[in-house]
Amino acid sequence: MWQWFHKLSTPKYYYQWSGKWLPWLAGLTIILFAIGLYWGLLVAPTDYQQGESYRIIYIHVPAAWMSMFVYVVMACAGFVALVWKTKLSEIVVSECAVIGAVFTAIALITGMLWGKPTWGTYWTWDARLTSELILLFLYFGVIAIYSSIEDKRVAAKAASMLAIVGVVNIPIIHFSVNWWNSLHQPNMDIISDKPSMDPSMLWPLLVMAVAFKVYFGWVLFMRIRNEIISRERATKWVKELVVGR
Amino acid sequence: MFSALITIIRRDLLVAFRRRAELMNPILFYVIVVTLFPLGVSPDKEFLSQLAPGVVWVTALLAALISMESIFRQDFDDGSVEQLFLSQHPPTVLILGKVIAHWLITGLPMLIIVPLMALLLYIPQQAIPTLFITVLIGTPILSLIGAIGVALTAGLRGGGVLLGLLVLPLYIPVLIFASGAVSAAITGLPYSGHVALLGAGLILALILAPLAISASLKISMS
Amino acid sequence: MRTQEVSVLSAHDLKCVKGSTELFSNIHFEIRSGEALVVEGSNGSGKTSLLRILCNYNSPAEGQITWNDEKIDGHESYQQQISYIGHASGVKLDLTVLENLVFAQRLVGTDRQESEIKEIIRAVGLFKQRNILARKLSAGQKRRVALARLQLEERQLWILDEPLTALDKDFVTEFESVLKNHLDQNGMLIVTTHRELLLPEAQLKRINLSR
Repeated sequence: MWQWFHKLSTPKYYYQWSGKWLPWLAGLTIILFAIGLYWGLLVAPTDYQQGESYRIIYIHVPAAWMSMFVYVVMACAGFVALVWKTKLSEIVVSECAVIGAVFTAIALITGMLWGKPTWGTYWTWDARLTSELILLFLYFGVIAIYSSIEDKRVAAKAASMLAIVGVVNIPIIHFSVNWWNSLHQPNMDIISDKPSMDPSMLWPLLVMAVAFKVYFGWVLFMRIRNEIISRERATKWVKELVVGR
Repeated sequence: MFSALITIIRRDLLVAFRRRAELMNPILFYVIVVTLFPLGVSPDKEFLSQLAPGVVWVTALLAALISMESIFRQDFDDGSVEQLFLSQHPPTVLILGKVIAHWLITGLPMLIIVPLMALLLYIPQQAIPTLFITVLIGTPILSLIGAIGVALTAGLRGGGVLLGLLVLPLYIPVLIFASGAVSAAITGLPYSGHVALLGAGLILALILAPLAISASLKISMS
Repeated sequence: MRTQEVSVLSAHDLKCVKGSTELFSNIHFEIRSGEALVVEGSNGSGKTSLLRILCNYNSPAEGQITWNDEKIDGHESYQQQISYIGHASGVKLDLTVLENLVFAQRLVGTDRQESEIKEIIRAVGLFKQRNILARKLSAGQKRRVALARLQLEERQLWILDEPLTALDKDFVTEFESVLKNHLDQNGMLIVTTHRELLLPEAQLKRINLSR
């Protein structure tokens, strides 16, 4: 098992291995999105309080979940990068930062669009939205430090370090923002009673959540392959790959 | 180990004393920025005293950020950073000493200036001790977290702005609990919960930050 | 502090990559107590990078370094055997010569008497300047402060990056005898230099990075 992991972390082997998975991930992503979107947008019943506008949760909620999930993946990869110094995990860190930032931005934008009909305003300093905004800042920090250090291996290590510091801080930030929000604003009950969702609305949401995860895997694989090719362009196997076929 | 801590604090204080002309700069920055708020928003007494906890603390964050840069800059230039890792003492202890010395130079003067700020912003007298305590507990956290960012960005072009981008989001909990405590004290509400949380944050930062700073310095050295 | 035991530092198949350019590869060497390794090579051939790898500041892209048959990676006490002088010599400009040395040796973990420190300051020819801020010293004098630190730290392995820069001729001769003394006392030396060092050939190994 360990040996397999070790082998996987060498760029060349990873490239070949991930190549086999790509079509499956792509297919699964498309199928899951098709099912989830159809079910969520057309089949699921209309909400008695919010009408049709609630349907944006089928994008918003999975994106928000992913924004956290990707950060944790990034920090774990960062830990591996710092301890075992594997090239592949360094690449995972830098690619996760970009993908995670996009998920966070999607969660924020859909949250604002949802806010307009629900609260009558695009932005409100709701605890969740605020946390999400700070998470976006944290992603920006990781991207910024990665792009400002020229030697990409050093850059990835610095980004890993920041990601790890960030992941220790996220629960604290989350807690502090909740605390701050409870002092300043009444709770927004509309969002927080998600558990009481009707199964007919919940199921498509879960399908969408899985679809987002698979999509993340797909995009991550592709971006890593891209980055490997560009980093290893001086090596023999990449030259053979590009010219040989 | 303790003597190593004392030695490095003494060395850094001595170096700072030799450059004492620079010591006042963060404080002056602090006072000037605080002055901008009444000018930019409103000099109204009620309004200002409501705004004050936030102003005092947002400004403290910025002042801490600006003063932070100097903690490792000279050490990178003169090669002292490399020496930190060849010592028989753990690098984390020496680094902690550096942060303590830096806080004594930049954070402690803030304690002295804070009552004056309270005066300028009409913070009622009963809240001043609370303000004092939050600065006492909060600014060391800022120094510890800030030093991680400096260790990562030292030697980069445009390091200053980048530092803000990295560090300010991490400062948010300090801002929330500290200004929350002051607000609570102004309105006469209990504030010990905020202060306890700040204290917990300080202990956590004292334990974890030196490790992170040490790892970050190593990354920057490569 | 000076031990009689023989230590061995060996490097196997080292490779160093900066960014996307390869600086050197296939570097092998082994030195024992009492031996010196002179690292040669043109500008940009990776001499400084090699020294920093040997100090365990960076890790090599490939290859292994062992100290007495233990990998130096994660071997904490290895770094406690080293005195290192890099391009920046670790001299604080806002401290006097004496203060610099007092603090430096204490931080490193040795505790010498002030009289001993003054003796070494005299030996490097800075006694008159001992209470002058390092900022006011010339480049060569600053280098001498670093070399004085070297002698105070009592470490077995000296790693020196261009130690002779800015030093005048007379002092170079003096410094060579310090190095020789260090080797005779079972010390080890790894050095890069543009000038020829006069050390007994029997104790000297050479390695060229720009072959």
